[in-house]
Amino acid sequence: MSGWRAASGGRIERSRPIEFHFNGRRYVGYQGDTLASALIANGVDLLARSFKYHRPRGLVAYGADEPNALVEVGEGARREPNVKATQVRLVPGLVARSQNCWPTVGFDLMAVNDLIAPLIPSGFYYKTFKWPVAAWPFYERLIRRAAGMGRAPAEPDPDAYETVHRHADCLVIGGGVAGLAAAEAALDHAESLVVVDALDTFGGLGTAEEARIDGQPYGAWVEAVLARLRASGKVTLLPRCTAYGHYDGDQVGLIEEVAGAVRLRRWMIDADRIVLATGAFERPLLFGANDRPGVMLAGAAQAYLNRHAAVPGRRCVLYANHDGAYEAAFDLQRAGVAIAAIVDARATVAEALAARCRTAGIRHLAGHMIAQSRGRRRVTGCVVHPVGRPDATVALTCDLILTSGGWNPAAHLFTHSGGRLRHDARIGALVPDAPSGPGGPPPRMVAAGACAGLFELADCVASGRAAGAGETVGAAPMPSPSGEPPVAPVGTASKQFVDLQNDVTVADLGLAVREGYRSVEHVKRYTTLGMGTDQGKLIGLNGVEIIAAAQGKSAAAIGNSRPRPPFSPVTFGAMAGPFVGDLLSPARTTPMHRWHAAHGAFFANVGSWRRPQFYRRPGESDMDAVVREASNVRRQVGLTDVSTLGKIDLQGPDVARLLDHVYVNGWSTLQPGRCRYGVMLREDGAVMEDGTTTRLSDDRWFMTTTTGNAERILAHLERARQVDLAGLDVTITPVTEQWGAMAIAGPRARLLLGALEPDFAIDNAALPFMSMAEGRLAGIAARVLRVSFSGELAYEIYTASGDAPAMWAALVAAGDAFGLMPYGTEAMMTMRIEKGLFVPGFEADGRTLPDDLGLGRMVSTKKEFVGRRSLGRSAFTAPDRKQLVGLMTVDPTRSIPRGAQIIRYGSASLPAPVPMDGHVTSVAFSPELDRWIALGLVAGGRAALGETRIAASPLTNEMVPVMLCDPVFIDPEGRRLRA
Amino acid sequence: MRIPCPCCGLRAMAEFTYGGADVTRPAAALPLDPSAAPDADWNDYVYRRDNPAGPHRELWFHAAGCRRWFAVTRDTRTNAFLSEAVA
Ligand SMILES: [Zn+2]
Repeated sequence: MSGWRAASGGRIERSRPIEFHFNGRRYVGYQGDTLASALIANGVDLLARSFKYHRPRGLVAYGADEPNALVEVGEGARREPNVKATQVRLVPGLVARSQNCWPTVGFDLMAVNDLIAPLIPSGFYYKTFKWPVAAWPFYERLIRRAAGMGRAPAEPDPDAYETVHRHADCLVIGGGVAGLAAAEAALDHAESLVVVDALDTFGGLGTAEEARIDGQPYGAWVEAVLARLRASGKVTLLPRCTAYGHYDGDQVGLIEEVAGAVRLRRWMIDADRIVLATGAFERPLLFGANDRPGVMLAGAAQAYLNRHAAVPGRRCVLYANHDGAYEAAFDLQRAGVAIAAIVDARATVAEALAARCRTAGIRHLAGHMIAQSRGRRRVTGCVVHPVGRPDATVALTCDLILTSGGWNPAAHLFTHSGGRLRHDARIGALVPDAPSGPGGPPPRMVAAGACAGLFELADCVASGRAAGAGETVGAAPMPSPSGEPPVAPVGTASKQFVDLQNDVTVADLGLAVREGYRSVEHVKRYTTLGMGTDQGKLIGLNGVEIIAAAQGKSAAAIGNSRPRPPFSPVTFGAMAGPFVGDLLSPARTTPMHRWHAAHGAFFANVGSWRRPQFYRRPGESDMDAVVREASNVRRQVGLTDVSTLGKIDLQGPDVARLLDHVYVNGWSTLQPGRCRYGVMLREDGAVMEDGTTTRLSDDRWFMTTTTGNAERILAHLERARQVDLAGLDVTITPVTEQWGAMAIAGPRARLLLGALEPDFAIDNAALPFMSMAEGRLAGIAARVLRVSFSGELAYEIYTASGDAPAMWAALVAAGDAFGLMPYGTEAMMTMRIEKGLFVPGFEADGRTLPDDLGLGRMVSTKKEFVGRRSLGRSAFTAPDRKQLVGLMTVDPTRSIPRGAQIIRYGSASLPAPVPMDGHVTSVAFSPELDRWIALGLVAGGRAALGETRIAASPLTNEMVPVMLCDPVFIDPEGRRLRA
Repeated sequence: MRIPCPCCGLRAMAEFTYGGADVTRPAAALPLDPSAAPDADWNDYVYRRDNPAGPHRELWFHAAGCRRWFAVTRDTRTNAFLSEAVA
């Protein structure tokens, strides 16, 4: 219990105490606390156990770089695992728990791993558990349980999420000094700006309160800039908003924490200019047992003190290698913390700084390093010695060790979509590279301030202004403020953790290099360096420098591993946004949907449409319903909803030329009032689509497409009109939503149509097969097409969508006298299989040519059309192509396995693989034939009608003898549909 | 990412359908007898596409907009649109 709350200071509201629970105990913090700062102030220093060795761990960092303090927040459906305590705002009633420890954080059974640590070297899991392969899932489960990476809630997420897409002329990521300077400068160049910061407030963390900018105190400057941004009316300020990814086309994904009805809001912002002013993460210095609770980054301790008045210790040793870190010690001393010593790895320190230490009465050990910490569950001291003289040790007593090995630009987003980082020896860190043409940084992203490796306040302001004004791309190289490259000595002690979250030590990295790993990316994967939820933000160049040193190389020479999105974890709820449940894939319903639902329809998803599959009556099985519906169409009359068909209105003098180009058959001879069936190909000759197009008048046509192809055919027609045949006078209008459509089919269909009192003639001479009439039907304006998909006498009736339910109701009412029943897609499919009609996606599978489907004679030889030239290719005219055939089981009581392969007799005994002759494409029970039938594609099938094959299904372990037959099972002469 | 439609200006990529490389269809010039024209030209048109790291002339369809097909040059390395779109 070392942490405490300073009596004054910080940005917390002491008048607003907040009660919360951690690991079952009640604590009190204040408004303005994070869970991390409140735990420090309450003296809680043991927060977690480490991933591999289950060593006790405490807080190290202030923000997204925290590796240790992973907690579960919330309960029940709102429980969220793997949350960093540093990023949890304290709210009343907050409940949080440590994870990765069992049964409790204080007494962890898995801590025995620490005692056998020498037995768990790099790649231990790979080496030990990779054999036998089949056992890996078993081992993996055990490892994951022991690792305790939190538990996801089992209940549905009760919270609401939003997704917002927007565009900005300029997006500034990071609202510290550089970001604010950039935003202000951009006001003159941009009409719309978005400025985001991960914290509650703008102004950043890296600037001392007493600093001055443009002659103003820092705080006043921040407020003045914010006021100007707000007054401009151009700027959206988003606090509590973290950019997690930078994607192609300069789109940035961000997560905003929203207090209110919405929990998180995900922004996808397209920006013409992106200023990356994300600051820097502090780099720790390494020493033995540097993972003990009480070892913390200097800047983190300073931030906890200055923002929350939370003080992480009573007696402190600062271990640093640069001047800036000293301020943490001076700040803490002013708050009442005893400074046991400042240990500086540099041999010489500027006299002014040394004098400040003397004045403050702080013991100053220049040219020294910490060898290791002392203590058990908490730091009680440390051992230091002069760099290079490990024998001359000095013991120091303290409960807090602050380290600072310099700063690493938080340039993660810079690399997400192609930018490169450059090793900057001046600061011992990776900085965004200057523009270098292709493969260089994304063209619109500019780094500024600490993210660009500029740590002096004046440089931050200047680089921010330049970036906001659009003057620089990439990071402009700036002169070094202090010339010496940093020193970061690494001692020989054991348990020097480079990656705290994944328990990767200096020794582990050395072992990986001795085992032959060279590239940073390979060592990373082998040792899991930087692969935790913190994405190794804390590691900085520590890992790279150790890997380089083990190979006798410089850090610059071996490169670095590339950070990838997300910058910090994004919860699934935010990714899904509001698009869950009914909104996941919004359903399209037809005008008659309510009637279907009220009359027992079972719906099938057809693309985004809901279509009645069948209407089951009480006591019926699904199969019973389908057989009844199909039989009723064949014997009396059925009614089905075909509103989902794609419908396209074509107008202009050149429509026939357009249709000639996209269909294999000719269209210029089609007379007004007549319909024609057509087939479309892709340029590679494969059948893409079939459907009916009707000529309404000389220059007006009406096309229907299959339900699933509506959008694709529209694009195809527009491409033919605008690109291939540029200059055609045709207007193409999609009218799928404007027309409701229903089909009546069966021998009594004409009687039913007549009962609706059409004001146009419907006898066979006036309205023959493949013709069209328009007029009033049941008093409603309608377009009637005499076309058939069932092989029966049939009519498709089109009305305005709003009139469709009335037309449907009129048909149902009049249909009673004729035995009318509604039928769904299953009965429709049964009847089209009986008629041998192909469907794109089943028989026409993207490899099927017109001739394969028996449509060779339909193909015009007198005109050019899409795909024509491909039909002449030698492979496309081979006699052993797979052709559409009908299939009947030799034993009429047996069914045909769906998706079965067609093989020849005797071939099953041949050496594997068994030659496949073809496959089954569609299967149905035919009520008309009282047996199972199928359509299939079989090599050379048309020449083999009457022969038997085997339908083999390894999935159902069936081998069913089938006979090849003509695919048209019913009424091959077409008498019924012309009746 | 936003795409420059010649009719509507810069619009979100989600409104567009990609149409592949802008290749000229040779079919109109081919004789109706397939054997009278070499397979090679047609094969190039149907199957063979360059895959440049750099400027790429390609077609886009403003499906959820004005339904214009247009050609535009995009640098495949940066996704920057390099030319004004033409219909
Ligand atoms: Zn457009």
